Amino acid sequence: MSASSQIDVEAERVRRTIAEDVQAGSSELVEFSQQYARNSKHKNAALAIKVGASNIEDPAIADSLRGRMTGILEDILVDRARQDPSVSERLQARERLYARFRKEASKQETICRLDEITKRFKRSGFVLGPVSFDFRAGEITALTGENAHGKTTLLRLVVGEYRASSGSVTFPALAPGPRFYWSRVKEHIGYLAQKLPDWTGALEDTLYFHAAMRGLSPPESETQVQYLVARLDLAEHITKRWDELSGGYQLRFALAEALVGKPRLLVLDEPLANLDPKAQAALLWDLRNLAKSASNPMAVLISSQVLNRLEAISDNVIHLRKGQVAYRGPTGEIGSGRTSNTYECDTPLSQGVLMERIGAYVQDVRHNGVYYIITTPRAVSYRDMLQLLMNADVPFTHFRDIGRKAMGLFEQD
Amino acid sequence: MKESKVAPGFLSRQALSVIVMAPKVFLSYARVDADKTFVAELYKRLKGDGIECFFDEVSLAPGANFVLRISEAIDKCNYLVMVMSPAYFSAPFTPSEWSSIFEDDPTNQRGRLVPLLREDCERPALIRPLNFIDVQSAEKFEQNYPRIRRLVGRSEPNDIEQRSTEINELFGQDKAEQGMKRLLDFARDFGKERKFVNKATAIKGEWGRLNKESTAGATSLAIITVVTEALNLIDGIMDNLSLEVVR
Repeated sequence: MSASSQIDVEAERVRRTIAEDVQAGSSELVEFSQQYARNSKHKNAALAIKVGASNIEDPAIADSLRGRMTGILEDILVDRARQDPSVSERLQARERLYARFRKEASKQETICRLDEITKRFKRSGFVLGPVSFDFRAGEITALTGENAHGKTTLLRLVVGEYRASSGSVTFPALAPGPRFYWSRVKEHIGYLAQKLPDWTGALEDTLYFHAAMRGLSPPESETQVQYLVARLDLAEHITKRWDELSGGYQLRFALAEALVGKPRLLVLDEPLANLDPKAQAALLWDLRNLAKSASNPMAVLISSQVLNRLEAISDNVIHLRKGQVAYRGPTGEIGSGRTSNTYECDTPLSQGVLMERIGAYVQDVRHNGVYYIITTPRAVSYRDMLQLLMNADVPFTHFRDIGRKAMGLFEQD
Repeated sequence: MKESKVAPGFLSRQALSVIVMAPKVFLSYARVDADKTFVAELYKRLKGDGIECFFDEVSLAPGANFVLRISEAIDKCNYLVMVMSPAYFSAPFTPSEWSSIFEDDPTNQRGRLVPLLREDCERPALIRPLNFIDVQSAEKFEQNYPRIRRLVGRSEPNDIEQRSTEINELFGQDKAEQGMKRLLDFARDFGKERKFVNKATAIKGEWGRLNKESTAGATSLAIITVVTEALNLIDGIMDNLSLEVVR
């Protein structure tokens, strides 16, 4: 079959489907346009109709959509027959553009560098560090650890609220010259403390106020504030008072405030604490997309206890244990250097009985208050352990490998 | 076999070292000849493009415990490509492969499940709502291969082609809400002039208002207008950049 008659056959099929069923027709037209349309306007029009046609009940509107879709179909065919040279020029220009951007890899500059930093508190005797780490643009770093193990202290060192006892915090991308002006660096840091300060006055005015404080011109602050209101879904709540907002939206407004002026480093202390699971997921995906921007990639540092969600979006993990770094590195490599495996198991058996049945094959069994934590030599895999539990007649209701998860970092504490 | 220090029934260390690298993409398919030939081709192509895949024919050493290895590979993969055919859904082990990914993310929000349709078949109810990629003929495969590669490849914020396609796909998959957000990001990242961000903001605002209204017919038409504007804006931003390239 020749190429042109192939198109005619497919076009005829799409025409028939459009006549029969608007919704199915819109889907077929999208596919047809993706394959054959030379002008992206036709592709866009077809896709937009598919989005809008999902539940059309009014027959008059369905008819008008049918007319539009047939029109797009015919336009695509005419366009192909005409062989307009400007169209192929445009396509070539587009290809060059794609290639140019593909070649320019995203910048991975180091925004903030911790070098053997420590912090001593005389009265409590608590010592944090030494910690060394590079926070790079476009990367999200999760800071984990139990309560009172130094997370907030580390964040406050990064944003300059504490002075380090030894070691240094530098900002290579923000202060490249020999002289260091803290006021200039600070402009590029957005910080959300665990307890958000209350806002007074109109929410929108507060955002504009912060834009002005950061030296944005009026048109630029208009653009940025309206962008952030739309991007963070604040439009519905913009006319409310601060104390009428839910905790989740207070956090979103605070985030918008921190993002005005396009910071390069964003530091969030326990942002997920007061959010329901759906809001947590939405916030993290927004953060991920905002961090991995092409024009303004941010280094993001988040402390949190909600490990599994944070793990899904973070590039790196720093885990603190009694002020010491217990793990630091890529999220995907947690546990890669481990010498043992760690499993979580729930069984009604007492620790003594459990030890009796499997103790000979494992290194350690203990109870963390919720589950038994079983430590084995590294060679004992998930499947092996499962088999062992079954062979040893251990009834269990929960069994999970946590050696490669951030959760496992807590169990080594 | 030499006696190992671990309890009887456990694997030797040698067997455990078979897989060192963690493949990014797990290829899940019915182990019948027709499907296997297709997967071998797909594996070759993806590998050629630098995307690491787990394909049991190649990735498993003879004598390895395949159940164990496959389960590990699924645990570690970023994406699971399911090659759907009548044989796929009647095979005894394939459900446990895709369902383990599905369980983590039932709406496939993160897009870890990548369904390919190799041969028309009755799909299970859970899978039916997911969009698939048609690979029923060699032509379709050629045509859709770039999309497969994009889906399973690493995402680069600077890849303008990928970023624009992503937004189109979000709209095509009834994820217009996310599509609008990514449009804003696109305008902020690539719009050379402030007017592009302002336009994107206005479009998102209008779209939000329309969605709060009833789903009456007139609203549907207004939504079509707004989405058309959104998609044309992406082209406008790219055309604006292309002009600059020429200059």
